[in-house]
Order: sequence, then structure tokens, then C-alpha cells
Amino acid sequence: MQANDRPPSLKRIAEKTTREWIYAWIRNPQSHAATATMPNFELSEDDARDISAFIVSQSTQPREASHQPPPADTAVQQGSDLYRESYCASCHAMQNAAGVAVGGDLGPELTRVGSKVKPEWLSEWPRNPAGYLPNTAMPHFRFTEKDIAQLTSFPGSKTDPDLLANIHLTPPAPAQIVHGKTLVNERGCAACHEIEGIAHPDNFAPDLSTVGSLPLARVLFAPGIPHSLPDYLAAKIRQPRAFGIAMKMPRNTFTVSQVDALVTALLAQTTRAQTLPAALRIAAPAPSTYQPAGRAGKLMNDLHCLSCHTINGRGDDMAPDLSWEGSAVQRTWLVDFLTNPNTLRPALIRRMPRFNLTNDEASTLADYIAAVYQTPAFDRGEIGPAQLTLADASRGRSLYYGKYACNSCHILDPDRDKGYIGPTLTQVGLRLNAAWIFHWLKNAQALRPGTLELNWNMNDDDARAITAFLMQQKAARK
Amino acid sequence: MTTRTLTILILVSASGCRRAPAPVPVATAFGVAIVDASGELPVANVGALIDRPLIAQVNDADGNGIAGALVEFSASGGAQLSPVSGLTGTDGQIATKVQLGGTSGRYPIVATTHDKTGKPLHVAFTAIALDYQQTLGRELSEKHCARCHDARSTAERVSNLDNLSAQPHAFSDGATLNEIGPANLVAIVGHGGVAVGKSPEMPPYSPTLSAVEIDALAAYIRAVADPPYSPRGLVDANRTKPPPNRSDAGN
Repeated sequence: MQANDRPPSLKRIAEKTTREWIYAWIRNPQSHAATATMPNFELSEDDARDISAFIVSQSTQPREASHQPPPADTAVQQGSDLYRESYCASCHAMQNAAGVAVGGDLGPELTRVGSKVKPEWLSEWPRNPAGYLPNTAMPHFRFTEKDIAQLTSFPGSKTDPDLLANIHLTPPAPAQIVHGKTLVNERGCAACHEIEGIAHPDNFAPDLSTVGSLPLARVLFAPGIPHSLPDYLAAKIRQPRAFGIAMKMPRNTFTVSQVDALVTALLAQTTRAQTLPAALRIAAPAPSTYQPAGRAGKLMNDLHCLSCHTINGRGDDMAPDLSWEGSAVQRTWLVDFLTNPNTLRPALIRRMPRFNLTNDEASTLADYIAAVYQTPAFDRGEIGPAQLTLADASRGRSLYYGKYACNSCHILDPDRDKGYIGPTLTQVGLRLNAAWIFHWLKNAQALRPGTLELNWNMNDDDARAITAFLMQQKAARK
Repeated sequence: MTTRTLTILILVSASGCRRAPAPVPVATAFGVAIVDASGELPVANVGALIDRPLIAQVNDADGNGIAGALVEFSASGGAQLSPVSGLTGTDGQIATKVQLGGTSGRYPIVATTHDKTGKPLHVAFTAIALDYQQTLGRELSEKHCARCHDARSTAERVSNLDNLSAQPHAFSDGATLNEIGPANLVAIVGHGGVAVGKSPEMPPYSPTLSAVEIDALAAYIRAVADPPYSPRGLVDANRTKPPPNRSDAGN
């Protein structure tokens, strides 16, 4: 679960899914997806029936269903291929036969998505994700109509006949919808979701800012809980309903260590902590509002680059920080990579998807990245071909395989090297600027703090020799 | 106000009654051996509930697990077990969760069952509680070391161990790592394998990791060693010296 998970708006939910699915979901979110982060409100059948009725009634209504025949098996197979080629699994997980979710956690799990979304919605979604959900993290892929028909047939085929088998809802009576609205207000659904006709409740749950100083005399312990504050907090998080069935707090699915971490954080919320001088507090870094400019900026918003990459402090950490990418890579390589991303790190399962960019779009992005995202630490052109001699390169080779054993982690010659950890270097001479390699070898941690590459603290002679050797690596792409 | 206090008192005493120990179930089958089926050593920081349970398996004469055998777990040193006893399932196994005590170190845990004649059969487990420094070392190890020193691969982290010609040792490999003295261990991490005449495939972590971090890594490596690491104290050091030559005494 990520801290920036934003529960979706429900104002158009009826376009996307059925009332039956909403019913199943709110009764037990984990039955649909093991990775669901929505907590379990332990709703009764009647309450779930009425809430689902209200949720559907407040939503915009779908257009008439088209009743297309289900796609043929061959189309599903092609869709599965396209799903893999597009690296959808970098963000979306599906459970395999053993029930293990395989794939990323940035987007929702898709194991049973065919039982959830309506076919008309599914074929509309990839065309323009932000059109349905303005704050989505999903990129706008440049798929053709044929691609979309193929691609969506695959997740559409991922159904679970058991999920909705025993759910038979009759059209709701007006009183049920009214009751559903009352429940939605009582349970605080709008504290997370946008719901038409329901205002965001302020201060819905009790204030926890001094919960760590809660006197034990004021705590009502549920039976069987040791009488200490940490045990009380852990029990409240694990089994809120043990404290009374009328409790509103839902039950989250946390691991043991997540509960431990939450309890620790709550115990730190004391009255004494509130009186600490401001000078002693370490504030979290202010969220960055960085926005790339111009036509490239608009493209980067459309492609949601910052869903995975960080630039100037804004973005996520699935993919490399691009703040200084313009100093690192050569423009020609970048255009090529954006048009058709290849695999740099052999053991990585999460990869950059192919967005099917036009040449013009790729050039716009590459120009912007090359011009703007440069480190002030050095000039990317400061080491030219003239400064790297053949003698350097040959010494670099022996340093590469000998003193520094770079081959432990990097593959340079696919026929003899086996390292899995760093990127492959077979054509690094076409990818990186010499000055970047030189400074990277001297102290990679200064260029990209926290990278797995060591700070080698390398002397200038060795760094220049290895740079010369690496700049020779221009193997043709196989 | 008084009524409320009274209610709380009643609830508290009622809950106190419910905490009586659960009755020990009655065995419906008896095995001839009990073995450790949990795999790796359970490691967590002090006081923590370990995510992975300990698993004991009761076997029949053919080495197959049998259901319905009574297993009782006992821990010392302040570790709590849940449950402390139970019957084995259809696979012959029973799991118990371990909550470590408040001090770092090793917590011996014993699982006991009885054979048909009433003779007790034991299997010993060890749970390891890491202190603050060792926990820091474990976090550093997960980021910097485990890719090569841990042979196990997951989808998220594929092991690089098989790609190296010098085979890195698992940190639990006490038989090898315990033989490396404290100064050499810090030197290998900080200055690489070549510092002690070993392979350059082990790179120098010195400028990347601070001295404090390298010490933390070393502390973690010692903490998870199997067999356990025991530093050579004064007694051991004296034992390895040749006996003093009496004729030299007084000169």
C-alpha cells in the first residue's frame, strides 16, 4: 500500500461497474483483490444492499450497453501478448495459479477485473484514463483502435464466476436508497471517496494527536487484551469490532510489522511531544509542486512520467530519478529509447512501457530532457573523444575486469559476463555521456543518492581509463 | 461517574477471568520423531512478533507427518509463544508464533511430543532478537549485501550469487564467517575482498557506508551466525599462546 493511494471518485461509478459488484466489494474488498487497501466495514447484507443502491443512484448512469459477443479465444491470446508487451504488469498485478499476486502495486490488481468492469467502460478507459478519473496515475498510451480491442479482451477475460454467483439484488425501493445515504454518512465513506450529494466530513474520526498520552483509566479494554496502551492500540487496529459491534472503525488488513509501526507512531503522539520546541522537530520535506514546462510538460503530464519517475523532488520511486538525465544520456539514444524502450537491467521485472510515441513526441521529450535536466556539478561535454586514448581504454579493460571487478554486477560482453544487478553495458558508449561515466565512477552517490552503485572514490586516472573503455562499447542492438 | 467507573471495574475483572490458560488438548495419535519444518532461522528485532511462525512436524516411522499428535512448545528468556500447545494437522505440522523478549540475543525454544510409550521427544529451535545496531545492519544488508550473499531469489530481487566466481558466504554461515576476526570482517566490508587477499568481486563499501554503518553490518553478521559466534575472550586468547617458558622467568 502506498501513502499516495487516492481512493477513486464514485460520481461515475455506475458507468464502470455493476451494483452487484459494489455489493460484493463493500462486504469484503479482499474477496475481489488480495491487495485491496479499502478496509472491511463488516456490513450486514441489508446495509450493503442499501449502500450499493445509494452509490449507484448518485452516480451518472451508463450509456446503453452494446451487448457485443465475447471476444474469441484468439483475440484474448493476442490481448495477453499485448498486455505483456506493454508491460502492464509493471503497475498491475494478477494472481497466478498459486494465488500469488505477480506484478506491480501502482495500479489496481486485475485478477478478477472482468467480473468488475463493464465491457463498454473497459474499452473506453485506455483511450483517455484521465477523462474518467482526473487524478489517475495511469499513462495515456497511444494505442490504435485495433490495439485497444485486442488489449482489453485480456483483462476482460479475467473473471471469477464465484464472486457474484450468489448475489441477486432486486431494484431498490426509494426507502432503501434513503437508508443507504444515511449509512454512507454514518460510515464516513465521503472522508475518502468523492460522492455526489455527500459533503466531505471534517474531523470524522476522533483526534489522535495526543493518543500516546491517553490515561489508562480512560481506556475501555475489550476482553482478553493486556492492560497496556500499546496492546490497546494494536487491538483497536487489528480488531476494532472487538470493542463493540456498533463501532464505526473498519478493519484494515495489516501485517504484523505494519501494526507495530502504526502503534509506534501513535505512541509518539503525546502531549509532551506537542510542547517540544519547534527547533527540535524534523519536518517532512515540503511536497514539491514541480511542473515541467511547455509542450514537453504537457506530454509528460499526459504520459504520467511522474507516476514512476521523480524529477526535482516530485514523483514516485519505481523508476530512476530523471532530474539530471540530460547530463547522463545521449540525445540520439534517448529518442530511440522513448520510441521503443528496451531492457537495461536484466533481472528487473518492472519495466518502462512502450507508449507508441510518434517521432515528433519522442523528439520533443528528448530535447527538453537533454536541455533542462542537467546537473550543475559538471558540463556533460567536458570529456570529448580526443581526451580518451586507446591506451586508456586498454588499461580500462584490465581495471574493469580486474581491480574493480565491474563484471560482478554488469554485463558488458554477453558471451562471458553474467552480473544481474546493474544495467547491461553492451552499448553504453551509445547511451551515456563520457563526463557522466567519469563522475559516476568517482562518486555515483553524489549524482544519485541512494543508488546501488558504490561510491568508488576512484582516482582520476582509473576513472578516465574505465570511461575510455566503456565509451568503446557500441555493440549493435540485437 | 461512579457508575461508569464501576462498569469499567466489572469489565476489567471479567476480562481477567477470561485470560485463564487454554486447556491442553488430548493427543489422538503418537509419532516416533519430531522435526523442525520451519526452514530458516526466525530473526526479528527485540520485542517483535515474528512474521513467520515456527513449525514442528511429528513423523511416523516412515517419516510421514501424522495428524493428532500433541506438541507442546516452551520458550525461555521472556519469549512468548502462541499457541503453547496443540495437535498436529493433517500434514503432521503445527505452527506457533513467537513474540521475542525485550533483550537481544538467542531465544531457545523447544517443542516436545511423546511417543506411544510416553517417552518425550524434543526438537530445539532458536529465535534471534536483534538489537538496534543489528537491526540497522540488517536493513543495510537487505539493500547492499543480500543480492550477492543470499542465494534465494524472489521476483523482486533476483540473486546474483551464481554469477560470481568467488562464491559469497551466506551471513548465517557461521562455520566460515566466525573464523574471520573482528578487524578483518570490518576490513573486508570497508576495503573489499582484496584487503584480506580475497576476490575483488567483493567491492569496498568504505566511502559508501560510514564506519558506524559498517560496524552495524558486522554486528548483524555476528548476530545471525549459525553456529553462534562467540568472540575470542581473554581466556581463549591465552589458551592459544604457547605456555610461558619457566627458565625465562625472572630474567
